Amino acid sequence: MTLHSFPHSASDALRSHGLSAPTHDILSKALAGIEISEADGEHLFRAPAQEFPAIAYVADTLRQRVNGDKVGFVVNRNINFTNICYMGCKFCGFAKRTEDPDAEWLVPEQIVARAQEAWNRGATEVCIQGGLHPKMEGTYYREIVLAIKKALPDMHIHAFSPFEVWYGAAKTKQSYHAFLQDLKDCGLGSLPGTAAEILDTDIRQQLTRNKLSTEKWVEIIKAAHEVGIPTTATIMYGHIDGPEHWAAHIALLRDIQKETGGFTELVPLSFVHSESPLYTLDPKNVRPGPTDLEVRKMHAVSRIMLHGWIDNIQVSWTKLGPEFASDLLQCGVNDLGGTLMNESISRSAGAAHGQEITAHEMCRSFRMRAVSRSSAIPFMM
Amino acid sequence: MQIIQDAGRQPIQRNTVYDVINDFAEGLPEQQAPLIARANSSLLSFLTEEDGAPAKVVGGAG
Repeated sequence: MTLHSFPHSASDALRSHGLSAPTHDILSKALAGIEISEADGEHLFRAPAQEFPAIAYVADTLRQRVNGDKVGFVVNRNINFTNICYMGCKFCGFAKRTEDPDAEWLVPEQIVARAQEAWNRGATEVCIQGGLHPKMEGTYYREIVLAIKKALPDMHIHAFSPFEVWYGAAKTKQSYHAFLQDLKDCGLGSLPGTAAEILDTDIRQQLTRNKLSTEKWVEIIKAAHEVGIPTTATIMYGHIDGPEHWAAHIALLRDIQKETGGFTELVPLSFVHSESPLYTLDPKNVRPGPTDLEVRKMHAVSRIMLHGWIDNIQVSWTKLGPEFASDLLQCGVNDLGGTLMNESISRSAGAAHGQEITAHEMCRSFRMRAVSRSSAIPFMM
Repeated sequence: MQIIQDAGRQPIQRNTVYDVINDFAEGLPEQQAPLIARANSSLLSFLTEEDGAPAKVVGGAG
């Protein structure tokens, strides 16, 4: 079975594939535009490999209905202003201590210089995140935004994870709403919905000792949406989690979106294990990232569960590489994210793909893949 | 071009909140020299090279 040999008539597609009755019913509902439940999503995550082409077909059909033929990307630059962090999140291979020789700290002038360089190269966005430096003032976040906006008024600033918002609000003794409103007034355009990891208390207890709880993450995201700051949504999967957590996580994101409408996209982030302490300290009990099939399912099931609520499913090519990312365009994905002139977090954790890809290369690469797919390549699991 | 169009996907450059900036249905964006010099001409091969591969930072951005 290849994805391209799957029937193209929606009504025939599911009948002809010999699906189990529950999978058939769930996918039929989705094709009919009916919202599937969290339990349905978990069922799809657990479905056997031979049923995946049907899941991908439905995800791709829904993607086509919403996004048509367009595949988007944003020309941007990642700026990690510090890698000094004392939070001790077990999955992170990025954090350094102040005395480490490769510890980094960028002052506003250096951040602005990188933003200026990005602007000169056509970037419309800078994505700025950093570790939680113990001696950093909580006002540093607004200083960064103000400095960039002063130099580059039209640059979109996509910055500061909910973990950083939690940290900055605590340091400045402000509510999340007040802290975020101030950042917005300074010029912050949007917030990365990172630090979500898996929105489950037991899992977060093991990943981060629950320093930023699920409840706090949700509270901060809702606060951002309520003051008019859109955010992305993320899920980091393939470590100590499983299908029940994935479905619950996506269902929670959907509930938030129903309430606020503030998510721009979902970005599934596969766990990069090779230099992550979570894995290296306990390799018997931690998975080395998701399987290829799980990656495909994550994007496809996300598309199906979020249909009608979050229109954009983005693949992280920095974690998966451009070839795999291109394959996922058949699994409900409509966006390739940023061209990312620098990306150090994934590379610190062992991913090989965190580099700049130019807009020309981005287009050329996936067009070449589109051509190769048009000749019915085998659908690899 | 026909084959590409038959494959059915069109690249668009967007902004952060998904407004379309450029639609490349008919062509490709202009190529510009990348910040990281490419070690060979194979498209995107630099992305799968290990750290320390023959690439150097151009423009002091690293």
